[in-house]
Amino acid sequence: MNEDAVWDTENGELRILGQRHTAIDAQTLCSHLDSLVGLQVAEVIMHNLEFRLGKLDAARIRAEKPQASLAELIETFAKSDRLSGVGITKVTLSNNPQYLARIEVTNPSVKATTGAAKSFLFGWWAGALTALFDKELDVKNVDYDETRNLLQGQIASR
Amino acid sequence: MVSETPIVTADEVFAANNKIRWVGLATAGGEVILNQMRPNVKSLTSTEVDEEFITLGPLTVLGVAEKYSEFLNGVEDVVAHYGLVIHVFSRLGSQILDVSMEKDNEALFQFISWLNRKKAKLDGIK
Repeated sequence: MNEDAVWDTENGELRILGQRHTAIDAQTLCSHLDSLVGLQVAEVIMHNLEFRLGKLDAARIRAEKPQASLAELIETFAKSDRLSGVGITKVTLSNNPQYLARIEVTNPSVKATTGAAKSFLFGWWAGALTALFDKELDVKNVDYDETRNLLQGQIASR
Repeated sequence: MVSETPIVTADEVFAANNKIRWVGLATAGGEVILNQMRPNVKSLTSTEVDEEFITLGPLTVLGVAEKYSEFLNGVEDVVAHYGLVIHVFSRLGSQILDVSMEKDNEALFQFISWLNRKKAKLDGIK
């Protein structure tokens, strides 16, 4: 681990980009939430959480790195995904008016394209990019490519 | 608040029964469309608390109840009897309705009858 990720086993702490985290089995959490309230409602509940977290995290990291360019901030966010075990995230800003960015996560920690898992991966990005671009964004067109073990989605205006 | 057209107006809901105090409406994605007190009725909660509640509260309550849907032929509505008021949660078309009313069982029955007629009308124009 590098300085951006600190696993302090003595004090039982995991910190990623300065923020304390707890390692959990995300797929089980998402599946359980899906089973409790159904796919549609679970997706909304998880989106509400992750969107809010994404906005807060983006605002915090931007405040900590006031000189950073947009590209550097997005790279920092993608690195945060890798450090926290979400997968290998690639963000491509789009010239297509239909959407602002495409998010591709290789080897994702959760694989579903509906329910809580969909929002777990992409809701955070919708929130983070909403904070960065100052426009209300949402998750669209989530798709899983099994052969490449790649989950991808678009972040677009609501 | 979002710009999605409300499937029902606050005035229409208030007209359904004069014991109705407040109406909230959200999209299926949890975005608030309506958060409105009946004129001249004092709220027991803040607008901010109401806004936060409408976002996920009714949707979650209905989501839990809908676990039985496949066995029990769907959920028509969920009623919460609080100490001071009654809340009725229901899907209405593609949106989620939350109504607060005075603790009056006859008014509750009348409102649920109105709600069922409204749903039948919406189903009829699909």
